[in-house]
Amino acid sequence: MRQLIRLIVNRGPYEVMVKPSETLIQVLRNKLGLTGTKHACDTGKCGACTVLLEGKPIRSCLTLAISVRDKEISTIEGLAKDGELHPIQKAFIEHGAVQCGFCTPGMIMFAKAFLEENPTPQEEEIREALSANICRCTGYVKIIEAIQAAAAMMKRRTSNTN
Amino acid sequence: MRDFNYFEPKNVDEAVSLLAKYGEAAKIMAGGTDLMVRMIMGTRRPKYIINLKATPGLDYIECGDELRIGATTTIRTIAKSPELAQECPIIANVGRKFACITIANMATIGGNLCNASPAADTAAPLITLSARVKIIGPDGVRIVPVEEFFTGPGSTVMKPDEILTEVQIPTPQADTKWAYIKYGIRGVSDLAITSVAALVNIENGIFTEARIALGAVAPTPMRARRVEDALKGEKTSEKTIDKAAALAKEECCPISDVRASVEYRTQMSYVLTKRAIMSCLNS
Repeated sequence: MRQLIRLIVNRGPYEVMVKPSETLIQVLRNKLGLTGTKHACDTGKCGACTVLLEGKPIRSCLTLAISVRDKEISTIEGLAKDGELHPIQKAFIEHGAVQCGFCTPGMIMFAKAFLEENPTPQEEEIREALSANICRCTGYVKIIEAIQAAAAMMKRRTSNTN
Repeated sequence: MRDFNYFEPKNVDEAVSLLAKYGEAAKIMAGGTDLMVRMIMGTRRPKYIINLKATPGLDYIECGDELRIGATTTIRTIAKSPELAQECPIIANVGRKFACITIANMATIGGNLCNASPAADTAAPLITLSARVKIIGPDGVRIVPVEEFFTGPGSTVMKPDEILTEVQIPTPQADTKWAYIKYGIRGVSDLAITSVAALVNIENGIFTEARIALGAVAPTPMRARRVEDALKGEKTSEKTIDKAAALAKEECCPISDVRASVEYRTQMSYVLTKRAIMSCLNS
């Protein structure tokens, strides 16, 4: 049976009718029109559908929308502020860390949560953490470079504001 | 995915009565990382989903005379717990080898056990730790050793109207040496081809206690008693360890599947058991 639930996506509340069997990725893309998040393997293996639930990365393909009602969800659409790209987005562009682009939203959302937890990661730590997301173009080297550059950019930004 | 009715029980009693009411048509969901995959693929078609993760009071780590971990505590919480890193480092280590960060944020220790995969990462280490699970049903509470919990691939001693609520771990002695090795193609992000947990105590160069358990090489996670017996009371030499680890090949009974063959898993049981025990010596 359909139920009316409230989802808080990128700080905005949405009221939406869902069946309990609808996954978060289906609701984000098909009902809220937020198609930045990609739907790929549907088995939790690839990471393309990664969004943040209260700041932590989750697989939106394995999450029932009804189970995250009233909780804060962040997607790639909410990352840029006032028309300015987030440092991770800038770094991905500057370092050519985008080939076909399909894994990119998941990669960037994962990187955001990862860098918040570990703002100065070693390359090895980035490599290990990135096992969460698959890039079928295999452009991992550029992605790792972009995350390192984003970490440096975000550190500068924090020290400038302090 | 087939449609279902969805419940978020306010407490364990409510969850138990829902299970009692709907029987096998109902399924408990925690992190969803196993169950959702099956529901999407259509191999599981429950009519009722009971989301235990929404039930308050089951997400905790308590350290006292023994460690108590609530069933819906996520693997990521376990991996990052400073208390567990101090009191029971093998479990914190398993948390880091369990899966990628994203899956570990969702998956729970109770879900990993109840899913009852022979490759379940938390199982072999919990067996070596003599851990127990607390199970609540209509008739009350029962405590079952993890070693006796599994009955086959995907099956456990739990009845359809019972819920696993807690994992209890006797705090290991501070000088206990440990190792957990998970071997898979994609490292932490994959299911194990073979995994080995080893806990040993050593005094004056002699193994005074040894507990060894293996994953993914039998219908259930298994304890390797013959390997343990071959270590206890013996010197901590490579020769002793090699001979003992070779017994793992006789104790295991793996299958061939997409990940590896019987022969490969059998050989890896020996190789990884030896490696795990050797690394206990150096820890």
